[in-house]
Amino acid sequence: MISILLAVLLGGAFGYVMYRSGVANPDNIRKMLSLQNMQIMRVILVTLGVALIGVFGLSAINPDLVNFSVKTAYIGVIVGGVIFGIGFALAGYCPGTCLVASGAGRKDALFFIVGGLFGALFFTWIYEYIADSWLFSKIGSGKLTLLSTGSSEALLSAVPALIPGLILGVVMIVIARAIKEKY
Amino acid sequence: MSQTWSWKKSGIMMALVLLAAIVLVKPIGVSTQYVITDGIFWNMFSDDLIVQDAEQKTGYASTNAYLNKSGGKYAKSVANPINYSYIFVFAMVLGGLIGYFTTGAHKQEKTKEDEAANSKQSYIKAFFAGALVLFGARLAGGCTSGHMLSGIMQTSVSGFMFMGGALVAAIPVAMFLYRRNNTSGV
Repeated sequence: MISILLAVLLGGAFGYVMYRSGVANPDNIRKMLSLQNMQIMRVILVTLGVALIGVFGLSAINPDLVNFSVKTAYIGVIVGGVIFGIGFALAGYCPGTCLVASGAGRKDALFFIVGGLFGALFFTWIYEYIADSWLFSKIGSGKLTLLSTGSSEALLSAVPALIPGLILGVVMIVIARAIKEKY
Repeated sequence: MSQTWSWKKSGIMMALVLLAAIVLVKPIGVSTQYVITDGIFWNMFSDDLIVQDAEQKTGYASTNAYLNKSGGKYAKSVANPINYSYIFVFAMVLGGLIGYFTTGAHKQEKTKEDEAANSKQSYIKAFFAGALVLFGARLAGGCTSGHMLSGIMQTSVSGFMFMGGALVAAIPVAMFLYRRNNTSGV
């Protein structure tokens, strides 16, 4: 019951913030991807910067505070990323922003969602034929991170995660500040 | 769009939501739930797609290899969709709706870009783009929220790989389509 309440609150907040940030408007995404207006790129960089500082700051205070869950790195992540990128540029939506946009009454978002259901269904069908292929060859041990998280293999395991985590976060925020809005 | 927050406020608020999720529950992810929705529909027309199976880690099995993966993790969610991750994505729709009505955006006049988005051409394009995006996201094992945001905030190598692949493809396509004189893509 608590988990359902959290889902409503966190999912609702995520959707509301996406709407207010302008990321659920596909025109803003298209302008970013065609390098005409960098507002959304700045939003993403600040998001990542503050989140990195938060994650590595909190886990330095107490490692149990952060529920790390690292996704496996395999070849298909890049191939899938490329296929994703083509569709992302065409419509200006991703799997999350289209949901928010549909809530905000955009009909094109509904068509995107239905298309997405078909795309995911097609993958569900063909998975058994590609499951053993090179697409799912892991890179190294798979669960790789740059910094130590306690639940992954860290490439920089020799250094404590706090300092490089904070530096990476600050660098992202500095880049966000430096980027001009319009080109 | 005066109701849109500044980039600073947007980024800080977005990060706070991501942090709240990873501290209270787990990193945010969205695209898996499209598979769960497909499974729910498919299961309505099938008697044996999802079955209970005590041998499996989750107690559920599927005749479909993808739904059966990881000890029947997806099969279990299809059988019991009232769970955190599934409710989360519906709450996102609600969040968008609340934003739309509380900012008064629903009373505003439609812009030229809104008009362009409401055409048959744009709907067909959105449908195919959606199919590409979700196929790619499932192959990659995550999307913008799971790989790009939740992944990179944990410094996951997979997150950087996904972002690299996505941008390498998306930027040239967008430059070609929208750079010349319009951004509506018609």
